[in-house]
Amino acid sequence: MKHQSIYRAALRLYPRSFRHDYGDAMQQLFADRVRDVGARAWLRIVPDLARTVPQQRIEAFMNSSRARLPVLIAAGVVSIVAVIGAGGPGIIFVAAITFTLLVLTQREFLASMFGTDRVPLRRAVVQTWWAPLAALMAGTEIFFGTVNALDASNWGGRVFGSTILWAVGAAMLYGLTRRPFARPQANAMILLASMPYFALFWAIVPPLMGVVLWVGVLSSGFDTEPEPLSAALP
Amino acid sequence: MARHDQDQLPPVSSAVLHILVSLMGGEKHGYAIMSDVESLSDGAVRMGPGTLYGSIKKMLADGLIEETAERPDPELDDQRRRYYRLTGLGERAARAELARLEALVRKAGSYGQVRGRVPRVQGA
Repeated sequence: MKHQSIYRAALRLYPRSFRHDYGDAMQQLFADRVRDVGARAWLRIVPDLARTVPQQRIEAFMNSSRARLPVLIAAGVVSIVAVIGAGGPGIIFVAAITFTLLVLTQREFLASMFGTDRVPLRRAVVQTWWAPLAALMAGTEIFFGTVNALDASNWGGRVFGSTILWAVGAAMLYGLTRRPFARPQANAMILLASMPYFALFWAIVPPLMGVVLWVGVLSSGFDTEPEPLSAALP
Repeated sequence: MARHDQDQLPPVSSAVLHILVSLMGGEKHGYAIMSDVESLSDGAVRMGPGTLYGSIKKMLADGLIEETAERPDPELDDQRRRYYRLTGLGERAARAELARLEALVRKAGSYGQVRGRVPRVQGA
């Protein structure tokens, strides 16, 4: 029984979900092993714990929405810093690839951004103190996307620039409508859609708006539980 | 739910292959699989509970195995024991991987014959 008490305690090193699913079966397996080989069972158990506890911990961390959001945000920040710090067209290409690869690692998380539950836009834009600012920023992106489509000096600039601006504007509005039902995913979408404001770092006001928005989003928390709809109303 | 389509065989690691082969002999609980794998590999593959159930978790997600509610002898068995069996996909994945290994062994043997000797391990 002493062996089993120690092993039961050691199982607490595994993530809760893994322990919940397999803890009892692992204890039974350990009991069978001790019955067959006695204390020598530890010769196999200790290396197994050392190898699989970190494995399961990392897996659980990477699968949690709380972990995915910081990774996604870090990807955006690293990409922007790379573009601003190093400059030049080459580094933009490298940053874009880095960002895309990191986003791809979060594809399951990003896939859950989309769902059928949404609040109407008029409620979404007043759900919290920073939501009107996000709506204004989204509207500005869509406005400048349209201006660019009419004014850009070449077709490439028109198609590429305007598509990006329309997409991020629409993404921010969509994030606002999804946020009461899928907060971490919608928050991620809003933060990503605010990236163009940081690219205009020399203009002072746009990045300042971005910082205020980020402070608002990050301080609003990332609970996965849906908010009651009444909380979305002023 | 299985992550893979029925026609798409997921990649099979060494630990997973040993578990699949063990379950080809019929449904088993964790400790029986662990002992069987050791015996199948002549002691070369020794799994602990973490490795075994970590692999089982992935195999369940991939649809290679399934848990069964049936117990050979419920009176004598501990309720904590969980039994697993192969799915159709798991059986196909095992057979495909074994066929691949067999082909590899055959080719390695033919290299030995061409050179007139079995390749030796460096330093032996």
